Amino acid sequence: MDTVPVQQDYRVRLEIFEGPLDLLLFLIRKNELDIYDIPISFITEQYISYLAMMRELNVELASEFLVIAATLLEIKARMLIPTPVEQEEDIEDPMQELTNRLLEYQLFKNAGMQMNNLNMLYRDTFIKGIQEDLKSESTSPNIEADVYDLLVAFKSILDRAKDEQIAYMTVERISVAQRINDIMERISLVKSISFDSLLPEDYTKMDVVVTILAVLELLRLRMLRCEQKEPFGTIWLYVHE
Amino acid sequence: MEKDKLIAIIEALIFASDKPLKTRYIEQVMSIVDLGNLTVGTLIEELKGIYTMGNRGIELVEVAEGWQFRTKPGLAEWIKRLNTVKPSKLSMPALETLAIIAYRQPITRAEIEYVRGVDSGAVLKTLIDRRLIKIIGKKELPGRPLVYGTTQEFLEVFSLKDISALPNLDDIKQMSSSETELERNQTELPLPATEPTDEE
Repeated sequence: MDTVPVQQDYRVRLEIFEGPLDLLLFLIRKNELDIYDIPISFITEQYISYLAMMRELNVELASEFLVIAATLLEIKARMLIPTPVEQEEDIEDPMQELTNRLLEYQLFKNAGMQMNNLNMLYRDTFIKGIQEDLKSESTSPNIEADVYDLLVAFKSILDRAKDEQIAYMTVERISVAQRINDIMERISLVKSISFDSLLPEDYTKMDVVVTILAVLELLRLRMLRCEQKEPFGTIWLYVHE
Repeated sequence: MEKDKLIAIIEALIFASDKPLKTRYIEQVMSIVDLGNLTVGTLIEELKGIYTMGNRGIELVEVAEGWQFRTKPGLAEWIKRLNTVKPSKLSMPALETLAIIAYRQPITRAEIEYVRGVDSGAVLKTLIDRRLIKIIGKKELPGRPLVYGTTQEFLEVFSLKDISALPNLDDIKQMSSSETELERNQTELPLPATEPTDEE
């Protein structure tokens, strides 16, 4: 059930770069460059090719990424044009400014990491007053299931479903709305319910289809959440707190 | 009054308080007894020592300019077995934003965003919702922008005595320039053995 579609791959990658400065720092580190002496041509090229890659992957780029790209290009352009000596002193050096920003950003990024190492309340240390909540300890499913898992589970139920008897002339039709009410009624009594048990003993494909639609709708409305203890395991539904 | 009795009183006061208890409140309560040549400060230190030295599960910690009993950090996994509510972790963007505010307060949103290079509205909202930061005023600049600072809860959550107890920024600067510690080490505490064992 390797439901790791391509988009998940870049969603992770996106998270690495919290902004253009973060991306620049990454490129500097990756290429083992000296932050005080950045080869502007090289880094600009790398930076822009990263942006291109991100765009190719349909990652929505914050406009800030483009601002820094423009800054890089400006610096690069300036280096190509000779500056009159007498003016050099007056002009604010954009390269210097960028270096300072990178250093400052790096400093606070590290400071944030240091803070993460402190003893954090309710993570590393506790004060009196927490409430015991043991019931879910042994039985609690702990893997969050996603829609794909849900579909796989339903697929296996569908496969098990008996073929409908052709002879039936009147199919008892259950509406999705009806099913939603059924599910919410049942789950409100027991707090959690396994997927399989939502279906009647001898269910038909129609039952399965209506049930999956009802569950998906409830998940969408955030009235339920679903979890799975292990791959291929039972999917449990919970009332969304 | 005997010293042990005095320490016991302080212990009870701190235990009974639901917030970190400030030394000056303890002093107020104790003002009716003659401490002789002792001070509340030294008595607290002695009490603290008892918990530190002894094989205890809790310790006396100075947080947010007060005293509070807290479980020892090595025992966190056990407490999490009692209560399965997941502690809400702070994301890297939240941590770095919090660091900027903690070290540079009072600070405007624009100043934070200049350092981070990205829009920080959402992160600021998260930090405010979690009561780690708050608006502490307005800056005398065109538009009178709001300025942010850390809260009492911030000190409590990060187990800091006061804001000056933050890791020294110069030390971090040194560390940054050596450029080694940049890997994100999400330190996961080892899970306790399945069978609780007595500590020796």
